[in-house]
Amino acid sequence: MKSALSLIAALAASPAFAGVEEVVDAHILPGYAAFEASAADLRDIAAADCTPDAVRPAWNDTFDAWMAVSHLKFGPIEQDGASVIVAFWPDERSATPKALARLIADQDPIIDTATGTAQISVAARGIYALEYLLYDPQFDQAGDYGCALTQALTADLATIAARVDQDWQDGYAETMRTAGAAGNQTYLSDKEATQALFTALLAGLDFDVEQRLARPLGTFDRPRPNRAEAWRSGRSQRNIVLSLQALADLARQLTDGTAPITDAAMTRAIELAEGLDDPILAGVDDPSQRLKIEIVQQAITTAYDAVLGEIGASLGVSAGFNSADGD
Amino acid sequence: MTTRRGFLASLAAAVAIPSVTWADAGSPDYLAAAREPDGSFALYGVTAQGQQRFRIPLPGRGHAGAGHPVRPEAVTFARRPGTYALVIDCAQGRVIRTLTAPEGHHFSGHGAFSADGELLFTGEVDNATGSGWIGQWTRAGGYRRSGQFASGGIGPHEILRRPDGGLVVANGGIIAALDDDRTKLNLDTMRPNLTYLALDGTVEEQVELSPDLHWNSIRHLAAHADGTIAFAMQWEGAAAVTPPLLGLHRRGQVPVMCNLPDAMATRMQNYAGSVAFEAAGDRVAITSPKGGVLAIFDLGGTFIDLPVRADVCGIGAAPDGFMLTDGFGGMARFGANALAGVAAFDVAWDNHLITI
Repeated sequence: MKSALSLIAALAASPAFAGVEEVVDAHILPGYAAFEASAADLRDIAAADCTPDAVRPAWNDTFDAWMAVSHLKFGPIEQDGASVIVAFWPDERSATPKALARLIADQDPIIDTATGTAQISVAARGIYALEYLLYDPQFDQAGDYGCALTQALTADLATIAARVDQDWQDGYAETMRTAGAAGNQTYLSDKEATQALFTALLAGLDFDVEQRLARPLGTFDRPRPNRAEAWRSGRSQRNIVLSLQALADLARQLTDGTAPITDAAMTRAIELAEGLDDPILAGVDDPSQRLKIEIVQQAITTAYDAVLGEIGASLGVSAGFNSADGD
Repeated sequence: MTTRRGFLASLAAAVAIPSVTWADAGSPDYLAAAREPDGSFALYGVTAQGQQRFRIPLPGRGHAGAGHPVRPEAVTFARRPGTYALVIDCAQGRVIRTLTAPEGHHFSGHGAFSADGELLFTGEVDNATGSGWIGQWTRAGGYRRSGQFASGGIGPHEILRRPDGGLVVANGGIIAALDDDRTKLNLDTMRPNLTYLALDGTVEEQVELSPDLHWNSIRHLAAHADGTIAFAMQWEGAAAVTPPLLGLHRRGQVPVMCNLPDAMATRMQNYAGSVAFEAAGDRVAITSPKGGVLAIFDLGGTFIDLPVRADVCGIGAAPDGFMLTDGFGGMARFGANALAGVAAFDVAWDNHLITI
């Protein structure tokens, strides 16, 4: 009887909207809860001792936690531009160090309150601004103000993480689960929630290829190692691995493990990224090491194509009709 | 708002064309092209309540189009760089005329009727030079070609009839090769403009952006009843820059540029796909399908909101705000302050929503 019921349930649940529940429960909610918890720890540790040596471990834990959810660019994290505030990167005009240096030079008291901190330039907030304060020699001598700034930014980050976590628990998780139900104004059909997750998966892989890898690779004649993500803290390679692990988990939850081509392609990309042994991708200007980095990039592109073909076809979703196209 | 000129124009139209109207096609509020699940294409007429009033198969992917002001006739343009446009009788559900771009021209994808509906104007681009033309077609002669005049710039995209009856053209400034990738040939020197034209082609006013914004291709337009023109842009410059993507222009004045708050500016992906004013009220919005958001501003250029809607592109005026369509089949409405679903169709709505 039990198997008959589950068979009926399986038939009733069209593959077009399988997986949303699993992703919400096993991927998104735990991810934001961990991000909230680590950001709160970071705030508390910085409040007790603001020196870089004391703060760095908790900052790294928070960055790790962020990597598990950074690809989820929809829902509460997009309210008030929170995703850009948390992660202001790439920063092509070096707006972050400039904005931080200005605050420090002015000893600007705006950071004395949480509402004040929430009004400073987005470039001077979030995880990447903290990386400058904790790792860049330019900010070694920031003194008491630098200490207060570290405390203000960690508190600001914790506030955002808590708000996003709460918003998911209080409503947005249900909004996704009830996609297509009468009264759901965010997801008009059940397919739209699947589509949002599928889009996040593709965009996450694209970000690894086009930003985390393409930026430092530059061109063969002009590699740009200083454009690698988070090289000051030695996290460039680590972030690629963590990103791929998060995306592989999303793909598995979304398809209930029924996408073997994607799974194999993701596994291969993760293994290659782990095997780089080049924490800051400094090898982009060494021909043999550069080739290894390019192979990682190609492996992620292969995974992207697998997602598009295999998962897209089985879920009946595709990349956006208009977004993939000019006017 | 009823102006004397608008009243006379509508009176003239009513006298000249008494018989068949949009009511005969089910009184749709909007027209939109779409891709069907089987990969074919169609033109839909839909109401503001999300009800389908007609569906007419199209031979290929459309771009934008224009609705006749009175008769149930629509012109839809082929996907760029297209050389044909179809005149569709929406009451009878059939193509009644195929317009072919003159030798050496292609259609820009947008067109506009004169206020009385007797003339159709089409945006056209010279294949060899990229320079812009406006083609004129006379309805009474079976939509025969009856003239052309310069658009006032390079690479025109949308053309629009103004509330006072004249035309306004978005000269995007880009010379695009006619290859599959539409390679852009002149990004270093592009200089888009907004050109106001009388119906005889006389240039009445031209507006250029400040030099630092010369990479901002002006592509789509909307007109407020008070004559304000909204122009939506697509940035061709450095990705590190997040320029304004919407401008508001009043005749004789410097355009007001509409900026997003820093933390939200990157969400647009430096790309605005369509623009509309609300029907009653003073808000204007641009859509970004690449960013999956729309940005709403007031007429002073002050930012109001950045609602999220995946692959949103089509936008038109709704009674209490904006109507939106997206590539996943959704029709949604932004009213006083929030998005609300209207209907979910099993199609992919194409770039533009045409308000009848």
